[in-house]
Amino acid sequence: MTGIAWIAAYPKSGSTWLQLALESVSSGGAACSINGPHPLIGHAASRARLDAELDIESSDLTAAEEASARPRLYERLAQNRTAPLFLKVHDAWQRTPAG
Amino acid sequence: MSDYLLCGWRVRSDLPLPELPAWPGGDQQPPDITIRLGEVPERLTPLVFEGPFLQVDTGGLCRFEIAAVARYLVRAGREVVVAPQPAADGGEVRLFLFANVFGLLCHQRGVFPLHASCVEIDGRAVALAGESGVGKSTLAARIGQRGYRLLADDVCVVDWRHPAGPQVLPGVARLKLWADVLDLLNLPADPVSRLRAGMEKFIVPEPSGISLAPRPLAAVYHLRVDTRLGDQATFEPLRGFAAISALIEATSRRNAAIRMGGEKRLFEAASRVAAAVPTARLRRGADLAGLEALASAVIIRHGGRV
Repeated sequence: MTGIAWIAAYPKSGSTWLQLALESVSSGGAACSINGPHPLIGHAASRARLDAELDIESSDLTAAEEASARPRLYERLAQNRTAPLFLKVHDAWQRTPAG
Repeated sequence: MSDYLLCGWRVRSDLPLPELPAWPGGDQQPPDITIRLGEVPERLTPLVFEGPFLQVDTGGLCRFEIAAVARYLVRAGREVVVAPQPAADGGEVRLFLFANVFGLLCHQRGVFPLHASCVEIDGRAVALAGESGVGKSTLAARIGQRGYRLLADDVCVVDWRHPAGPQVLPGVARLKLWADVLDLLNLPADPVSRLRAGMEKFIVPEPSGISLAPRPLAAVYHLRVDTRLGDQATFEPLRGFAAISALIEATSRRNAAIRMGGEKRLFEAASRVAAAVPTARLRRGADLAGLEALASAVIIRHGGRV
């Protein structure tokens, strides 16, 4: 399995618990801490990821420009992966300003 | 057409660049960089990188575009062709010229652009690096209000090959600050200096202008927000590979640099800087009430007076 595995959830609906379960499974059943950093699941809305991948400061972009760039970001992130990328997302489904 | 000074380079530009001082030298030296208005093609080929804003071709030619603002072609560290949108504001055209295009030019010229703000304390350059939103410009602005001069904002250019050790080449004399920060610093939010239409972010010029000469790099602080710290801040020195990888991570336009074949040089530059100057992780709480103390701590560390 490759590409992006979306974890679509409302805030406070248990995605951190799911994350812990995934971490444990992917490390052979090892115990894991709820307080530690959880690198396995990223936030889809992360601006740092967008900035680093697309070589841009999203803080210089209008909301419409950022929204239009996001699908291209996810395409790039999904390419050339050997393991799935887990991204948790709280956003509503919507069209970009350009459609 | 006018000649300007940026990073010690003579920049000849069709576009007026009011943020930059006029070229102080004579006519003997030809321009280092030429910025002209012209056509920019829709697509470069063959490509080694293609994102929604940036294309890089196999020869290292870069094409950057913000659809509502302008297209830019960046060639060999020497030439920029700009095709502004007819309705675009000049400030917006320069915003991406000084942030994105400038970073690409630096990589093509073989200097090391850090994504950092930089202030001059006791004659030396102190770089404040980190992701967008961590408070680089805010901290630089507060240190600036204490009488220290700005050396760079956003793109901090390091001449890492200099025989006397890494030097910071003075950049653009302005800060980009959000309205709430202006409020905190008692600075006016001049609507004319709004970064983009409808955005609560503003351009604030450095009152004393930019330093004209390079300054030796004293330290690089990698800023990070840690919500558990409240209004406190902690310094954690970085050593060895951690110092090198933090510098690589803090490189402006890092993806483009790697696609232009600069990965080895990037590593070499980061290694050289890490070996020459102290670097540290600087964690600050999310509470801006800690800004005063943090500004003082940085100033005192570098022999300045508070």
